[in-house]
Amino acid sequence: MKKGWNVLIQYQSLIWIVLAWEVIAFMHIMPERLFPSLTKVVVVAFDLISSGMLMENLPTTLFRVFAGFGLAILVGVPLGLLMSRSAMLNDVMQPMFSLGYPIPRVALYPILVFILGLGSASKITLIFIECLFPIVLNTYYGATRVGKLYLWAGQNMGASSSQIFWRILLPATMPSIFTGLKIALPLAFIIAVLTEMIGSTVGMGYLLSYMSASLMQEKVLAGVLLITLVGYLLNLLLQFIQRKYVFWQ
Amino acid sequence: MDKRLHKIALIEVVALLVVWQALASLQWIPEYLSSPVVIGKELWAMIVSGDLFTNAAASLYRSIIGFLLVALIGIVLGIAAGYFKPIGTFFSPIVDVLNPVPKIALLPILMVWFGISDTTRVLLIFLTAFFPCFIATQDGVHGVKQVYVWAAQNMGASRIQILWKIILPASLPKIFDGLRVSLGLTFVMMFSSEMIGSSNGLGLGFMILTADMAGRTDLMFVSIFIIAVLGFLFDRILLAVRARLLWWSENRG
Repeated sequence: MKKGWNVLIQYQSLIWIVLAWEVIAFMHIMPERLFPSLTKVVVVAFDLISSGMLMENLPTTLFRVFAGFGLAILVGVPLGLLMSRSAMLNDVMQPMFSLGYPIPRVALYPILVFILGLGSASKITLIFIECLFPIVLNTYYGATRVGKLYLWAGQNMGASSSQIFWRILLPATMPSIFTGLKIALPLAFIIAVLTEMIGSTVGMGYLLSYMSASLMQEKVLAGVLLITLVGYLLNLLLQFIQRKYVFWQ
Repeated sequence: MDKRLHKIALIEVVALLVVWQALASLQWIPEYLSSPVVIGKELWAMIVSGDLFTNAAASLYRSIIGFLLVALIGIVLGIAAGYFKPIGTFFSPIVDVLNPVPKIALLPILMVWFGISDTTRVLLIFLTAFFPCFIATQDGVHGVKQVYVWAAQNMGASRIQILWKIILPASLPKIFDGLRVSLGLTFVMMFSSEMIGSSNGLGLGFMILTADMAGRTDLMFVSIFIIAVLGFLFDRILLAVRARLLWWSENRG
């Protein structure tokens, strides 16, 4: 009983928000069509799931997120590590990343559409570019901060350079790599939804813009709710993987 | 970035432009990719006609208002949440739940509530950019060494003095880390909100949209170029302010 009360206190802010929402909806301060009650939104969300609308659109969005995010990991992590080891590679790449960092990469999307079309290719490419920055930069800074003592100790004990890489450099950089991934994953999700809203015939972003164009406000809110849920679950998954494989942190 | 990297960056940009121009002149790349010379001419034309400034000003107005709101509210709330424990526990579930939401998904809803207006855009910018600033500030306050606070208390500082003279300066490096992320997001959302809905016909994102519909890639590149330059410029301004305020710190960026 006491424990339940504590949880209630801990999450009180959320409860207040939900209550305020329900009261505003109940009192019709705003037109019901524009401001549906949360319970109604949840019901509609279940409708979206059971009607198959979600199953038609969510897999496409998730595919784009995973493809872009996965590619960014495959390229970004080795690139960041190599940049920390090779001064020449760092000289070539570092200016590009420093120059490109403050530039809003989404602006490139229309050009990508021109080159790759409105399908998944242009969206995955943009997600890839956007995710590459935090992953490379975090990996690079993480790797440069690995204590030189560890590397020297490894060398002194006769470890080969591949052993040093796999046994010392990579594990020691892991926490920073995960920091980068944690920043990149929501970005991937945002870019996927955004690009689908601008131009697509399938996907969660398309579903949202379609429903809002048809003025189905409670469905839009339900869609946002579901996207939030999926984003939250993906984040949990990432945390789970981190705890499992970077257990020493 | 030190001087040497600046030089390398310059060489890389020039090399990119030269290769691009060469490929375009030889017609080895499709015509819709334009060429730096064509884009440069278009840029000059837009500067002369003044179109560029009206559009850039409309975009900048939205982003700067959004960013200032984020900085003000984010820092104040962040410090409050970091310093006063009950406020921190009050906000933490909200942040946990709302931070990962792709805020762009709220655009259709905001558009119905507030119309296709600057209010909608500023709100969207605020919602997106607020969390990095808030989280970084709270983090920064938590990172302040307790010894400093004790020392100040011993010397008879009031709570306000502790907040203003110790907590705020000591958490500034982290706050600036957060502000830098927020600034980047501000520009992204400025552009995105204009791409999806613009009614008054002004703004860089809207310029890209109209250029896209007219098939004018040269105009598109001009807008992209301006957004890139502005994003870069404002990042530098923020870094300069940071270096100025944090003259005492090693972490000056």
